[in-house]
Amino acid sequence: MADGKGFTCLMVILILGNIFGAAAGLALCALAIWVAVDQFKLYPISGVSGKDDIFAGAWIAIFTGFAFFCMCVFGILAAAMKSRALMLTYLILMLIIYIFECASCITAVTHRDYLVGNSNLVKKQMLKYYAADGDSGSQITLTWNKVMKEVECCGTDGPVDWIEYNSTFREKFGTDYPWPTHCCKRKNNYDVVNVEACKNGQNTTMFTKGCFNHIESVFSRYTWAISWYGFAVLMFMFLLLILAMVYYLML
Amino acid sequence: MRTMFIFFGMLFTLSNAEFQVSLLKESDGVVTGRFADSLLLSLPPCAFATQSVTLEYNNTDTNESKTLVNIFKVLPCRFRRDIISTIENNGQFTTSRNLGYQVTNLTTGSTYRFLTPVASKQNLKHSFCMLFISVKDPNQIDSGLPARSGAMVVITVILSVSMFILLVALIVTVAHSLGGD
Repeated sequence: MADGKGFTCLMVILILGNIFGAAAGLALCALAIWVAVDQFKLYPISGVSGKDDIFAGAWIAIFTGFAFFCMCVFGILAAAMKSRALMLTYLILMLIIYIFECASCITAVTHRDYLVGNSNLVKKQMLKYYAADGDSGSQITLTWNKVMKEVECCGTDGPVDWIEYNSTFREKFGTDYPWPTHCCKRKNNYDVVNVEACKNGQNTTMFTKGCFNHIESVFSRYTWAISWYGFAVLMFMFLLLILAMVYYLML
Repeated sequence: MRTMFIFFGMLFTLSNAEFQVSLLKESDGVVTGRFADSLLLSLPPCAFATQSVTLEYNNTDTNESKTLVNIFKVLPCRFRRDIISTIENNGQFTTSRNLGYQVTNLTTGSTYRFLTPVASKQNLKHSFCMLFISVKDPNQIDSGLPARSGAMVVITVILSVSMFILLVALIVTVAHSLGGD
């Protein structure tokens, strides 16, 4: 149709938009790789409960991020060559990738609510699986030991969780140790500072804050990376696709 | 939920001074005074120093009684090995503080009544306190979805609407271009 200034302007905008979109897509891919790698090693807490779709969302985002990058490069080509067939291919494939990326964002943010909306799920899992036999038990035990040591915390909301509720830990080891020894403060050579005082609950010799704040903040960080950044990329792609459709109609 | 009621009485035979037997709390320097099968009780004050303490407690569910005779002498505010103490050292001086006495081998889900005559004289004064211990079953914890966050609603709604708009727009575009040809 018209080969005037408006058309050329639209083509330039489309090319620039696709360049920016390619960069954003690649960044999404990189961020999703960071989430999937799970540097805080908290995956077992979500995996054992079956609510690990934050990480499923991350895996989808790795592929859709890279796919956005490839399609935007293709879009630059299609716009520069002013080809209807190529633009139609671009539009259809971008829509498919768009839908997958939407699925990733929505899944990640929904499962975050299930997992860390409140401390109940994490607490129930800790009481059931800490010191339990089996694969789930050993994974949860290792994860909690790591968290308690590094974050200097005990229990989900506090050490009182171990006393208020029955647990696999108590069934296995009896009531001599009210909580695991990882709740006790340790010296630099990893010896417990004072085992008896820790067993009696003296708050100078053990960690008294709960671990849930840390666990919740880690999962929230992963979720915001996938869902909010994915949302931002999708909003940009939405505008780009609308412009591409107008350009296609003008071709 | 099984609960244990513990009912304490401590009898003291000294002057008309009274004190309250109680469970140790966070402000006393412990995480909790209530354990699954034992309790941390406060000590009689130093005014009753050198008096021997006998603790008698009664399980009101099964009506069993147990007496711990002469478990310790009331402390003259100095460190004693069998009492729970905390020692604080700030590099210049060390202070030790006696926190309480741990009563062990109690049964979860029972009611206890405690009675402690320190010495048999007249003018007995006693104080009581009621204590509850509960041990809950972790399977009772409701780990279902607590609530949907605002972020989830916003993202879902906006993305769903945008997906729909794009789909409709693509169909209109293709139809228009086919109709135009």
